[in-house]
Amino acid sequence: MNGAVPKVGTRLPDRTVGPFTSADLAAYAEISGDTNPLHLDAALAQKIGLAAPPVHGMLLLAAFEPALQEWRPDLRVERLSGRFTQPVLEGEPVTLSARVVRAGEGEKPEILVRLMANGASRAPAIVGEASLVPREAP
Amino acid sequence: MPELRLGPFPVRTQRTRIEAYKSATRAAAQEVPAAFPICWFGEPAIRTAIAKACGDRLPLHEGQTFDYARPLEIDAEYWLSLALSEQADPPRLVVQGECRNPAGELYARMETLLRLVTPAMELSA
Repeated sequence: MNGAVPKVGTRLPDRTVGPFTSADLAAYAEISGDTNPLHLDAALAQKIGLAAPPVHGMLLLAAFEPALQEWRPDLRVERLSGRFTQPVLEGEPVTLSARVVRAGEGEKPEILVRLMANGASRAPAIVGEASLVPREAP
Repeated sequence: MPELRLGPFPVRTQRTRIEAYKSATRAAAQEVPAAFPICWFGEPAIRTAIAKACGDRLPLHEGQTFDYARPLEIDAEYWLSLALSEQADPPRLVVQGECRNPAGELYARMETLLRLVTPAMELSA
């Protein structure tokens, strides 16, 4: 590992992403193939009780990757997981936060980072984890 | 529904598609982003299989995991095998995937949780 092993409890700088527009959701739908109409059709979203289409959970989970890379470019994501617990709606800004919860030692230490995304709702929209390992030399 | 095994499906990490994905997700990584394989679910054969399993219910993406044995390479070909199973209460489709290169080496495992709702249902997740 090029940098020092981070201490357990280290908080990464919070990062704000969005607010996501309908054009953002359409662009993500096109490239990801997730054209679930719920993300694209406001009338359908209203039918299930949402004021606006929900942002793709995967678009939010993907937003953690640049944050992690910016924090520690010498590490790569070996495992990424997230539970989408609350919808984030189109037009809401989202705050990404992350904290180191485990930091291994040794030749190939594993750094476990707890991830959380919060939209307008007080409850987290995503609760997840990323496991980071040293990037192999090219 | 008993577990349904599908594939393997041919999938790729085309540079152009990865660039488009990075643009849509504002990613800056030089390598294949860890979450990129979700795009493979948009491949017609995979998409059709999942849609068939959902029936007339709407899938709500409830959870996702990517677990890498080694990083994916850009402009490479892989094979993705899927296992679909359904849970009853609440209704949920679990899609487990395994990505290998043509030599059979494991690159990644992924798991997708889809909550299945009818349009009349309220979101309670």
